[in-house]
Amino acid sequence: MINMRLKFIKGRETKYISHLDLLRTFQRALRRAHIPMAYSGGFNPHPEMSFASALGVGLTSMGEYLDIGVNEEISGEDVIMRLNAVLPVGLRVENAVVLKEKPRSGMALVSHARYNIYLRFEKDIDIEDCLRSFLAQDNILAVKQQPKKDFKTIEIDIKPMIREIKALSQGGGEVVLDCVLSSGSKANLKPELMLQALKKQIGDIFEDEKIERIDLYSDMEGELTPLLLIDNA
Amino acid sequence: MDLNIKDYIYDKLLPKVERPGRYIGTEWNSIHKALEGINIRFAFCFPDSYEVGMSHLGMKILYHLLNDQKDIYCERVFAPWPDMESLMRKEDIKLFALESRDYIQDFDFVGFTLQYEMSYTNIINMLDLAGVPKLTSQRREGDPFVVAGGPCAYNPEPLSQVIDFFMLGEGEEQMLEVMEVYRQWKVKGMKREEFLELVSKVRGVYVPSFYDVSYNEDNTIKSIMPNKEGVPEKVKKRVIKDLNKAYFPDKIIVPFIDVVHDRIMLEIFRGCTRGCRFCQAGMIYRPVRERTVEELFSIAEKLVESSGYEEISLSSLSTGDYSKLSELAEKLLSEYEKDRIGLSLPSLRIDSISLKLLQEVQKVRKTGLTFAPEAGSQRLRDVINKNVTEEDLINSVGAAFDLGYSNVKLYFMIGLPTETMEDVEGIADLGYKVMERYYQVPKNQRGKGINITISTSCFVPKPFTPFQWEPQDNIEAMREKQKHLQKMLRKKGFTYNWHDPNLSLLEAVFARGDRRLSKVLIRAWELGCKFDGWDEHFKYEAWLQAFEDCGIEPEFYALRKRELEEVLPWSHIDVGVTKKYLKSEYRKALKGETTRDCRTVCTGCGINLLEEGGVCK
Ligand code: SF4
Repeated sequence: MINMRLKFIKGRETKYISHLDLLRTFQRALRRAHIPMAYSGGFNPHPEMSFASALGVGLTSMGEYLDIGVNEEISGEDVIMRLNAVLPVGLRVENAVVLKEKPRSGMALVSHARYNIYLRFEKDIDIEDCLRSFLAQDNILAVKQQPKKDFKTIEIDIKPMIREIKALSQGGGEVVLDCVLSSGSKANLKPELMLQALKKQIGDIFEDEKIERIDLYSDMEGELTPLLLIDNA
Repeated sequence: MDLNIKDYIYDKLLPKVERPGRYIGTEWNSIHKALEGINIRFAFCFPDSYEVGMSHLGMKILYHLLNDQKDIYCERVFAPWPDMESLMRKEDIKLFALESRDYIQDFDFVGFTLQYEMSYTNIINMLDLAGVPKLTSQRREGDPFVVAGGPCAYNPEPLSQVIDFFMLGEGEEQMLEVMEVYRQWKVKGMKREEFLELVSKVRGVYVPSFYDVSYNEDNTIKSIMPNKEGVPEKVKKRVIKDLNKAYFPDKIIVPFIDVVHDRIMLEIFRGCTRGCRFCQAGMIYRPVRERTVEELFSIAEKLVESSGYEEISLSSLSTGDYSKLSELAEKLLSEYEKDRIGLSLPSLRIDSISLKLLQEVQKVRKTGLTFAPEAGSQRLRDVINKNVTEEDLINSVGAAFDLGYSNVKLYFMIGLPTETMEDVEGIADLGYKVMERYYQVPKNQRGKGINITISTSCFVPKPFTPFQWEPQDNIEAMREKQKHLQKMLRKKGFTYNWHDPNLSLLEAVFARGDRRLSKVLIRAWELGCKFDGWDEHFKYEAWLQAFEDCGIEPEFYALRKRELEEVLPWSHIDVGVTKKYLKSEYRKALKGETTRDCRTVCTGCGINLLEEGGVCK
């Protein structure tokens, strides 16, 4: 089996497609594209494919990743071309690379995600100042629901999961937050939760218009590396 | 329509609903057209959820048929789920078509497909949400024409005050003829009424307002007569003569979200020759017409290529009756096994399961098996002409158990004409015999964990069947039968499911109802009834209230035995199968006499006389 990693865009038209539905959508698109998929063994064989990370329903993304296993050699360019011809609007493969043998899975690699969060404030504010005081707290507390525990809530400190937040003011109360948050199996911070904590600190004075994921990274000895650059053949 | 409303719906409303994927509209193979050059806009409405509607083959065919016409833009509309509906009402957003998100009140046609009676309140609700007047009599120039087709349209009367015209029978040819009449009418800038007159001349079109119904003292119908010249006294259903030449799309929409039937549905033939006396489909879809293996294979090839689906299901009323089933199945299996495309064979009759075929299919995918003996005793199976014996059942179930299956579903009906408690007990007895057969397979060879699911539905007498004159069993009797079975099947390895008799009562009312029921429907909707087919939304009390408010007794429709000579509400509809045949079948049923499958020798149902030249060989 040859492993490949695809980077794709999940746009406005597909932002409501859940993780499971997206998997099925890709399965069918891969068939239409005649990508020679490898299948798992066992009683109920399924095509070898897995996403690096689940994206929240309602969010768009410029940098999602899908790992696939193929039986025959096929170039990245070929995969891009063939798949893009048969993907529904709102999904687009940007890049595809062949990985070295026994690569680490995208899922295992992901440690951080970059988001652009588009906010609209009631009035012009000094966002830099807000962020400074937000990040200066010893603990940044947020209340999290636990779907697996009957939606019981717990309070957690999200500060260690915020790697970076920068603000770009657009004027007129419009702000874009460019932030890098922990993402993956070890630590995961949803941007919505971060906003909830921000609201608690500066008041309910803004609305989020749009949240877009920009890319996924792996922390390679302190250095954030985009997934596409890891384990290439 | 304001562009911003469309964005508002998409970006602001959808995040608040439970399954936004229902309302996206940009699924693979969905059709999006620029409005320039569009002459006719058609809202194809399915009065149930997206998941149910997107599983329906007829809708997929007609959607592409219409969109293949350059000047027609056909879009889909499903009943918004109640969470979406309440948001729409709160924010004053009208019912929109999925593809363009334009309001359907501005369309030329709003067309409903009628698959089951209990979706009728959703039609009223959708018209209300759309801002389209609910009654035919309230619609004015410029309003869309509200039309309907599908199996329930054969008794159109309960919806006759709501639907402007019905299209009876198979739509592939008729739909385009109706569109052509519309084009010409539109060019000439004629009146609404004039279009209805023109379209009533298209064969299979029924315009209810062109017919008057009069009643007898006892509330039965005295007569149904055209009130306009040139309107046919009897409306004949449409039939496609050669299915191989009929339109079939080379692509189908692939939903993003999980729907009930999410696979390629290959319609291998239409009609059925078995002549089960309870089955409306078996009568109204006659005659039998098969697609050739070559044609089916070529359709499958195109659909596999364009959809990417991983499963093909052979669809028909009785898959095992297809004359070249093994040839077709083997051809499909050998072609697609390497691509890991599975084959499923639903509605396989228990007396026609081919062991070899089963094994073949099993190689690709292992699915549970369903059997439908329908009645528990041989006597009652003879009454309903379900020509299947206990031996047949045990043999085929046994064959399945020998192959390692351990999961079977058995479907029955209760409340069938002449049924006694003994017949009901026969259902449980049969279940136990099936169980016994499982234990005859040596322990090391049989599938683990036997599970026999027995489901009983409540019999609903339907128009155009030999039982159309029969009363439905009353609710108390059905409940008693269900309780009895529940007791008898309380044993490990059995699961017993039953249907709510309250719902079946309403089904029986609307299946054989007349014009006077339109007002009950509207009243029930006013009292909050919708999605009646969904347990969690079904409001029986509200329905009873609606009947009372309208001064109509549901028993009159559901529980009354009709005289053979009574004018039935659908007497002016001709489905081809004659009343003479139905009467003779009814008499034979009561005597317990069976009628053989007409595949080999014609039993004279009359369908061959419907079209000039005949269709049955
Ligand atoms: S006309 Fe004869 S062969 Fe044709 S469907 Fe009717 S009974 Fe069967």
